[in-house]
Amino acid sequence: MKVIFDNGLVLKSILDSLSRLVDEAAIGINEKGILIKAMDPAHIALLTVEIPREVFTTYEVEEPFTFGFNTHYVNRLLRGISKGDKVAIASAEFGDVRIDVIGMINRKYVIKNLEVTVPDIPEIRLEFDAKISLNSEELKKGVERVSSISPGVTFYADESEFKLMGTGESEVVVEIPKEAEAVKLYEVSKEVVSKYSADYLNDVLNMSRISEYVDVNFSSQKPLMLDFEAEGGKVKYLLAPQQ
Amino acid sequence: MDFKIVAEYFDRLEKISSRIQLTNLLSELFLKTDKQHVDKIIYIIQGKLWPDFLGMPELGIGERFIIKAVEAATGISESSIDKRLNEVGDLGEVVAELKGKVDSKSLSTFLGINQNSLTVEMVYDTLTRIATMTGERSRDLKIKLLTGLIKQSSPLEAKYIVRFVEGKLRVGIGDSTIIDAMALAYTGEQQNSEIIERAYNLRADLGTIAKILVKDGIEAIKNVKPEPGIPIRPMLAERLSEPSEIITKVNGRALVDYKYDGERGQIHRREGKTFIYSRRLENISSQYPDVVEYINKSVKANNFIIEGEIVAIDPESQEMRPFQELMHRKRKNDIHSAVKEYPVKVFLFDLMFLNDEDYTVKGQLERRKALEGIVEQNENVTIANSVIVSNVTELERFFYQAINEGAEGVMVKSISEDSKYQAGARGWQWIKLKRDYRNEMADTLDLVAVGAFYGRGKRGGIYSSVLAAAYNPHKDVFEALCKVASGFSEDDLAELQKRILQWRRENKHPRVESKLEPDIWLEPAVLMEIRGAELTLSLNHPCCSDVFKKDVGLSVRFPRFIRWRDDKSPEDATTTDEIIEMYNNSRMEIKSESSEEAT
Repeated sequence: MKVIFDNGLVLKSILDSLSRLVDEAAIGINEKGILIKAMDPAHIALLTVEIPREVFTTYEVEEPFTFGFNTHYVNRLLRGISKGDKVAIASAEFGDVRIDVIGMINRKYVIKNLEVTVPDIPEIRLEFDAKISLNSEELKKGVERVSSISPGVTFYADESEFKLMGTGESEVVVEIPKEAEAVKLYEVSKEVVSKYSADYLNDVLNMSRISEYVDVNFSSQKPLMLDFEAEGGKVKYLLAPQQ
Repeated sequence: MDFKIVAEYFDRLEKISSRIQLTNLLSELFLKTDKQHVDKIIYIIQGKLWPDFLGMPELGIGERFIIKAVEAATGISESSIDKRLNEVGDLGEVVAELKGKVDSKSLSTFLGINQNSLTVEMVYDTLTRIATMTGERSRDLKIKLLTGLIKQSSPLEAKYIVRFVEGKLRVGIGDSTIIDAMALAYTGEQQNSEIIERAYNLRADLGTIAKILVKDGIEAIKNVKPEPGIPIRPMLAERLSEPSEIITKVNGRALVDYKYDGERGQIHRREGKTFIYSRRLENISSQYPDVVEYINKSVKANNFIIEGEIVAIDPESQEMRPFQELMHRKRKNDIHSAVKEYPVKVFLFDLMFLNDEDYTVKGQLERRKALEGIVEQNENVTIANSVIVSNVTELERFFYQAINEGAEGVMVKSISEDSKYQAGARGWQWIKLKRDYRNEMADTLDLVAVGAFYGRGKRGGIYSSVLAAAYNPHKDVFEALCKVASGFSEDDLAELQKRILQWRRENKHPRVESKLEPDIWLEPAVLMEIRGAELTLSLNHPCCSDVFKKDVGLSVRFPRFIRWRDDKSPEDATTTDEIIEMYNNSRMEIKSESSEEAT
């Protein structure tokens, strides 16, 4: 088995967010593409990453392969990765896995393939009353502003605007009108309001750099689903609501 | 086994104040426990995940992070949790209350994933993961794991999970109660607790002892021997201040060792590795890499358990330094520089196991001979300086010699036929003679804080005095001895308030006996060293009640707080036997002074 990620930075961003959720994870690699599913131990967030084989320039997979790893360790190996660097993952001798960082200076690591239990999670079938496609940097900044004073970020949307709100020692409201330049798509069927953990949001929004836009899907008192698309791959982040 | 059962029993145990009822209820819980999980249940009751001697990490989640986990699990803000905690004073109660009010759904609910009820195994394994997780971002992941447990638990389960993580389970159960309950549950007879206790004394791991008991029965427990790598509960000494009385107690002849002012260490060798355990049975090998090396060079045997005193020495003069020097060494972060700055020497004094043979059942002199046989003495490791005495003059002479050479006094050890190593027991086989005992109440007492009283006047509005208790090992209770109101500096008082907040409880702890009703009861968890003018008969305190006069106990006149003794556990407090002995001595001294005056 050998697959090469042409954009190593995207993989690094994904692993970075993954390492904030779980200490161990598995990448499933089969003839269709690669799949990562990880739910944090608190069962508050679920991250799924799907990248079809067509996206890879090299994709040599004869039979399904599961690569289990310590997220922090692999994240550390990819530290210092630069724009244009590629990352190759390949099976090695004795069941180990070889990781190559290919760039100005090539690095090679051989690590143990850990036995990691992949969570058995059914397909996500949730319907949302609000679907807003938004510039991901703008969402990140908005969440950062609210989370600086509040542990929870309230998402609000009606037919004319999307708001992020929080209450701590003071109150903060970030307003993004439907017509704002940052908004690419705005479909809100009714007034919706729901609160989510600021810490979890900050962790996942580190991925904002991999995709210019993020789809924000939510309903009142229901999970929030953030969809990122990068380099032909799909990253979904599902977050449970707070009270 | 569902964790719910454990939580429900904890809830019932917490509300009981009779030790017999505690034992019965706990034995009921043991009968409901799956055999393969009995060790886990016992560790949880002991407030730990594994025995201390394993040197495994602790949970490493402080109160602030537990609150963060509660916030993530319930959606209630940290500041609201703080506010409620200040009112209630028990984070376990707070989380149970919040869990009862909010219904915070996890993703599993929305995704239609069935979440099973919490089992003992799930709770134990998750807590183990929390404890053993290290490295980058481990703190955040520890919080997430705890959040998951709290989210998945019922209010009652959450209460005890949080209390466990905080290290304050507050179910009022000590090792003796666990042993009694084990005997009752697994043998049907509480008398068998003596056999279990003996095994526990030889292998200080109650979880493992319970596993042996449920698997192989009481006969297997009778055959338990010490095992290098598992500490033995140390043999303890009584104390007396009168040499003639000591000589009488040991039937006229004794082995007398210097009593060194250092840290007592139990040294094990197993499969080529050397471990050192403290008096509290914690693995302290990493604090003494030099001692490990000295022992490796000096002790010639494949497997053994020996005991000695690790004493700080002056690097220049090689003279013994006081115990405090070892404390300086422990505060140093870099152990290698500490080794150079505060060198130590080891004085070995006992041998309990050698080459697969149990020596605890052998006499004192045979043990000493075997010890001498395997130790090649040198400047770093020696056998404790000792003599055999057969009269008071010899004992006194050796005592003064010990004092002159920087020892605290001497240990007088019976050499009679039954002078076995009595693991975990305090008895008259070993008797301490320390220099301070010759003065009336010159020695301090280590007492357990069991309650506190509000102050008046300048100290109004804060707790300013403490109900202090001695330990009665026969009844396994703490008997109130005195109310300590003086000796506290402003800093001590501030510290006292913190400790009260940490250990307060709504009602009297079942292992506490007191005639006074303090303003607030405390868990018997904190030891304080106090000094007093004299011991007097008292109607106010139950300590040593009925010993000298019916319904009259003892108390300390003019007790003054000296310092906290966090290095000792509650059961290390001054015992009621020691207090009785001190009272007897002071009476004798007064009598002898009177007779001198008369002549």
